[in-house]
Amino acid sequence: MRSLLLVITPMVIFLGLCVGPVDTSLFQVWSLLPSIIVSQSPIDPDLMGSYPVVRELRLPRTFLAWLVGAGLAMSGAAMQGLFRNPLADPSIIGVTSGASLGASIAVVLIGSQFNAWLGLSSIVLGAFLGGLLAVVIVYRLASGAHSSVNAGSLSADQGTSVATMLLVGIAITALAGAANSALAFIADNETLRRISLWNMGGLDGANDQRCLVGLLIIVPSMLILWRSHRSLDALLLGESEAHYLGVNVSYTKRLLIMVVALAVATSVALAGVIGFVGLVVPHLLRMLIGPGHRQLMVCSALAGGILLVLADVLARLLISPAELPVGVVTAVIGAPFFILLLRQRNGYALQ
Amino acid sequence: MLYSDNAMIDEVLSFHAVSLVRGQNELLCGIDLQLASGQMLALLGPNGAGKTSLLNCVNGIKDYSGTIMLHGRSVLDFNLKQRAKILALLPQQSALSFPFSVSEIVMLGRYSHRTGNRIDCAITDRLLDLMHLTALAGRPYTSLSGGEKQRVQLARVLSQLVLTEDLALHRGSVLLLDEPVSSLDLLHQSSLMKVLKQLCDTGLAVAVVLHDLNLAAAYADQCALLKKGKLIASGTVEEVMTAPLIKQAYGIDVDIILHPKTAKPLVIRDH
Repeated sequence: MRSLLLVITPMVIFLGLCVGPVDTSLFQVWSLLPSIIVSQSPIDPDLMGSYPVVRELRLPRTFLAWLVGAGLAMSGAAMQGLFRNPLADPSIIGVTSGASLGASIAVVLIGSQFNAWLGLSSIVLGAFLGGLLAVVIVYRLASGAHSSVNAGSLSADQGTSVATMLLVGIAITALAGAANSALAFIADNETLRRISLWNMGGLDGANDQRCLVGLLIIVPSMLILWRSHRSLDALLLGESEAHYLGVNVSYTKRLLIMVVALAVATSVALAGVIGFVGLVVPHLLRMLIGPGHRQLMVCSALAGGILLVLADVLARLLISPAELPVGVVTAVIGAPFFILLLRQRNGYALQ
Repeated sequence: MLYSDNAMIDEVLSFHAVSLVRGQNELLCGIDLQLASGQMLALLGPNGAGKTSLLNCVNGIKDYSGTIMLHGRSVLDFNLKQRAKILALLPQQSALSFPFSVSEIVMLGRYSHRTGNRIDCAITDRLLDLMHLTALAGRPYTSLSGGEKQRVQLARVLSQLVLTEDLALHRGSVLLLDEPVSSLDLLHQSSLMKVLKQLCDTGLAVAVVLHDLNLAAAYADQCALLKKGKLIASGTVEEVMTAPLIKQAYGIDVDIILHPKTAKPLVIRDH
């Protein structure tokens, strides 16, 4: 499975470089590859026209799509493992709705034109901070709670109960959603459109700076998540069982939640809200290769990257020369496919 | 199974005045108990007597008063992975909704060891063989029967204690089991107890919560009888399995006769 995905990945990325409103043949892009990879390499004069399109638009966009898709899918795999629930997704800890709210606040208060830092717009920073803040709130509230759900755990010092976190996450998501709606309600038409477009997800803002930020945050996050694969396997047995096996449960929980929050907040900040990838990719792969996280995490990252690059290609193609928000594409294609699979594997998800 | 070191540690696990309070309830009250290497201790008592709490104090619950010593050190002083290699606990029921295969589950026991994949696989194979699970190795855990699941879980906690490919245990290892036989049929009940007994003979110390007094009488070396958090009796099977003590613990009238074959006490209920 992993080698299959490894073979498909460069093919899909190449496809991402070839497709778009400006007509470029596969051969043209292929000849441009050396000059894209090595910047000093001379460019064939015939290809001068398509070089900027491929290098400045499609390359960062495809790269960012791959990075965000991989990050979301791997985060999803980690959250499903941590919550011991195949229906969990990265937004379950409140990060997505927090980022959404942060972006809306940035749009309403500052406007998206203002370049705050490193060529990143204020909306990106607003989303990033909003996402992280939401997770911190969820985590703190869940740690303080001594609800009936918590009583099941071994003792008071066992740390944050994931069940409580789930409930607090739902509450914070609802609250952030309400605040977001309130902002949209008071916003003027132009701002409203920008908020809602952002909420559909889109990679059209991709540039080298965004790619660099993504590379610096999402890739290390993915490495940390992957390193936790043994602990995640053990946690699937239950938190007490993992503790007996020698897993430092509260440390692992805190680490995973922080890292996922970082990766997802970055993804949402750079590419908007993209649903479905984090939920479905790890879920489908678990059906194919089993629940062991060693393979599952790597395959999820590869498949998530492939899926989002393909979805972005479709987003560019379907109503060309205009383009669809990529979040719409992932949902429209993914949801029916997912339902079909669930119906074939009767009752798997709720076993 | 062999010890990697032949020197035996006499008292591998001991409780000194262990008490545990949760809210208004005193779950455990001044428990003193010793477990020696090679011994099987049966923890007996009615529901809510504190048997499970006692096991959880050894690993997990930290806010008890009194001390629990493992190899002469407080259990709280151990590093998690260090402790996991000499002390394993099998809880009452393990809910698992992800379809791991049987051998993957057993392999999870290797979490705290850094023996490498090849040795871990070899250990897993041998334990599957020991627990008569080889035929099920590739099956998803979620598709097994209750009894099969229990045997898989036992193989998992054993793999946690094993050090080498020939199934040598860490010296003075302790295995705590919470009602391991309650979901098993009669045949698997006694075959599991026999496996435990064999492990004890090689030096493993086992503390096992049991509801079946006759099973405890047949296999255990020592018994501890709890009621409402208090230890009302402990000692050999013959010392604990007496009609007055059982009446005191469970509130039922019984007759104790000797088993015609083993001469162990046999508890007969007066209905």
